[in-house]
Amino acid sequence: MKLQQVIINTDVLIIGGGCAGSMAAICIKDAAPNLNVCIMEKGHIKRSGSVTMGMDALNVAVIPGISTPEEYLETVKKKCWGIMDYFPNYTLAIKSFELLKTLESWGVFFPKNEDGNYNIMQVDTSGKFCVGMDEPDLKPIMEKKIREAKIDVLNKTMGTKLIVKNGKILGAVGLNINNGQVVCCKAKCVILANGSASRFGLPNTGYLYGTFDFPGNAGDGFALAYRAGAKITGMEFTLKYALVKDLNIPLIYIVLTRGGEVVNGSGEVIVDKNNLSIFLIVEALENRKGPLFLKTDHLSKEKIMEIENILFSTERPMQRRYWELKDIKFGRDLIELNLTEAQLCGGHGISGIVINEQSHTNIKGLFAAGDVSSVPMQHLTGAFVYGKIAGESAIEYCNNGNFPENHKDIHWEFDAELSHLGSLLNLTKNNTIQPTTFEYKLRRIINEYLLSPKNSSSLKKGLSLIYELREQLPYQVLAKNFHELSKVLEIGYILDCAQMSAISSLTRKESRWGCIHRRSDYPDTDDVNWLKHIDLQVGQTYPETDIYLREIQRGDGE
Amino acid sequence: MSSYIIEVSDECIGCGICVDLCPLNCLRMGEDNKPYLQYEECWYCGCCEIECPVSCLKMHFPFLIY
Ligand SMILES: Cc1cc2nc3c(=O)[nH]c(=O)nc-3n(C[C@H](O)[C@H](O)[C@H](O)COP(=O)(O)OP(=O)(O)OC[C@H]3O[C@@H](n4cnc5c(N)ncnc54)[C@H](O)[C@@H]3O)c2cc1C
Repeated sequence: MKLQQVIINTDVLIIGGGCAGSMAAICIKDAAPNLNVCIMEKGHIKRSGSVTMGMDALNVAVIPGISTPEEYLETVKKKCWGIMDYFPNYTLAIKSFELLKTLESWGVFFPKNEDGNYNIMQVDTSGKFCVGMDEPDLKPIMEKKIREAKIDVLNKTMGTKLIVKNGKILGAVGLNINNGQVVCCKAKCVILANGSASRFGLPNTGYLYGTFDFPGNAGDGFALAYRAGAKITGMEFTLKYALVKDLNIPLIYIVLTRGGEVVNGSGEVIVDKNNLSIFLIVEALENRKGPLFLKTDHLSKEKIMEIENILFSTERPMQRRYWELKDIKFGRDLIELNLTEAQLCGGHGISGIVINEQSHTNIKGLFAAGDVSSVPMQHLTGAFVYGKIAGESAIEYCNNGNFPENHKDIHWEFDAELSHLGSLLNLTKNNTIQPTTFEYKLRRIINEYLLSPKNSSSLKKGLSLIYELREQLPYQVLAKNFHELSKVLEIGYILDCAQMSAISSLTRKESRWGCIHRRSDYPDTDDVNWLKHIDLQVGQTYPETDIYLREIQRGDGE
Repeated sequence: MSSYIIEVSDECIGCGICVDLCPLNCLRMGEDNKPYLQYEECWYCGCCEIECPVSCLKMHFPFLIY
């Protein structure tokens, strides 16, 4: 079993072909057909990423006449407890409606009522920003556009290293996880769009892949960017959601906006459509006020049918079989909710690569978009809006930059990565531990030491265990083939994310965001000292970390 | 391996679309030219079942999560 080498050239390399990466590619080819674009995707772009089987809502849409960007900013600011920058979120808000229209022109289905209005749902205590979308084929629609535009796609290829010299991107290395081909891709610029750190905490079932968010994203993007010198922020925001117990899929918005309720064991209503707050549900579960259930037996037959139609057609149609297995019927039975595992995400939470409103990172020629980047709670809308913006920035960079041939540096870095990959695959070693066993232990340690209630001793203890596991990884884990090699690499990314999260959580000496960051040794929220971002950057030698506190960016007149 | 997650009927034409599209790359073609779950890394998205051109594949939820 040997790694094969190949060298390719492109103008723009996109790592990750989810919604953000696909949007970036389509927009670049549309606006600048002369540029060569290449997508490296770990799965297959037709079905990979968080949207695998479609999606039923665009969570951020500021529709003229319904809501304003200012209202949206107020809402996000409240949800982030002030830890957000003005301009990236403002840009998201003002471009969200144009994005909806673009998707509609591509054939993405947004149902309308008899008056011709979109189905707009209020899912936050203030403001109506969530628009119903009924599109099981969202990814196939984009994949077709990518095929038609003749964009190069390297499926089953995971980005393993960004090549950066003197603060400027030169390309990246990718590994085909089926045939072991290692690709050195020289590029004028790179867009990172490879999602969140979904495989972070361990789900209640103990099943490594039973996560809420797409488990193909193991924090690859956070780690690649960190190792290359990009700034990463908000890693103390260890986010848990409340979803269907054990299956870990979302349906609260769909059921509650149609009249369902969340009740406790005594039947008391905790949340309904008039106070639809996931935060309240999560807090109740964290504070042991559960079990909590979704109640639908008071709804009309028509409403139940409407709910089932959405649930069983768009996002996770397979769930119909799950409910049959459990003999649970909507409109008759209670559905138990539970906390998800903890994740780090720039789409649902605030964690990710620091970008500005043009998708720029602090590395020249490196742009980032979607869940991998921190535009707090940008969701699917953010992936699309910032995918497009990253594409525009990439075009500008290609047209205005100068790109001297830099063969030596690239080849040196490529060779180093080749020998790194080769060393992990070396079957002559005495390693015996399966990647899954190692990952289980690491994620158990994350659950035990890195999550709320947090305190200085548990975070320090967790950090020292993470450093130990880091040392052990190359000597313990056995990768018998290229697929397993990719799993060993992913464990490395989870280790990076765990280390960054522990360091950020230790740094933030206050409690904020309820049980997302509750420090038992600093129980109060301290706006005087901590209304700030915590950014991390790799130190002199990897994995050392430098910590920076950054002021919150305010808007004009704020 | 965990064949209980993926059930393939005789109508399978061995096209390999399910193997190719699986977002987590956990299916493989067996020697009988039929797909099977090689790695227990399934997200239960059901894309293999939905994309099958001859509807010969069924995805089951494992005992662990129901
Ligand atoms: C279950 C669920 C329901 C959701 N519901 C909604 C909703 O109703 N409304 C809403 O607005 N938002 C929703 N979201 C959020 C939304 O789906 C995401 O914010 C958005 O899809 C993120 O897009 P992305 O392109 O950044 O990441 P993804 O779509 O996850 O794409 C990342 C891609 O990168 C690939 N990848 C990972 N690592 C590598 C690597 N090393 N090299 C190459 N490729 C790599 C992955 O295979 C994947 O294809 C939901 C998310 C989930 C998980």
